[in-house]
Amino acid sequence: MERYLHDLLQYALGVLHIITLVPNSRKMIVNATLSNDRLGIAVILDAANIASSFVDPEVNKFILSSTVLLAPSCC
Amino acid sequence: MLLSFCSWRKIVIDIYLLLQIVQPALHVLINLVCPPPSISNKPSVTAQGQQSASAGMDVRDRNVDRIISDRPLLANQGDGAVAPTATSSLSQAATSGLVGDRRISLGVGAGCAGLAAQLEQGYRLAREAVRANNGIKVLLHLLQPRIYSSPSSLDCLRALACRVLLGLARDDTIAQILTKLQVNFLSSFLSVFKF
Repeated sequence: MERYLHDLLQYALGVLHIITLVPNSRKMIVNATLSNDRLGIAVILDAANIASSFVDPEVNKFILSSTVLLAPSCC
Repeated sequence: MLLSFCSWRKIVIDIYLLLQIVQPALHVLINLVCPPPSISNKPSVTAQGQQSASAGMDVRDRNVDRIISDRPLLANQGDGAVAPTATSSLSQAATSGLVGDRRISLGVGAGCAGLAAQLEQGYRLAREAVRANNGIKVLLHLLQPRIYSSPSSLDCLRALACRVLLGLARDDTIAQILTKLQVNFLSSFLSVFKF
């Protein structure tokens, strides 16, 4: 389920990437408001900030201390 | 021990997947705040000269209508309160080498008269929306040195974040904020130490 949502988010942002090439739809996206009263641009910024909110100091500590890291393609 | 390693490895993979989200999000932001280079970059001097030589005065007047500026250039600000005239704006478009450029030029015979102004208005709204939602903080956070991903993907994200910041810097207020924050110092610091 988590992977599905991740793919969904990635594809949705890909569609937005294409749509924002058109000036009129660009304005609509800037002015859009979601059903939970959040601005569309705030959601996009949240997506850009998602990695920093995920990583906590423990992860950094682990990566610093670990000597072996497997590439994600190997998994 | 093995279980702990597996769980940490899963976390690292999750981070890698999350970074795949950041990249398209930054691409969307670039489209929202940065005009395409073809209409925002300064025209080359030779092309400008050819245009002025071949086109008549009426064509030039139409071109002036399609070149708009949301503010006078920094070079003019030092000279005092001289409002840029229509003819001087053409020469400034050729001489200024700022971020892309601060004016949108659709060129001769392209679009209607108010199209450039309409485009600039859309970009201005997007800049204000990004700024109002802590966009500058988010983008500067992406420039910070991190260690949990490969250097190449980090460079890619930083380049995209810089592009969004450059688009935002077309606004006077945001440009001043970025100047006070010394973002240029941070970027040179990153390039020297290769974080």
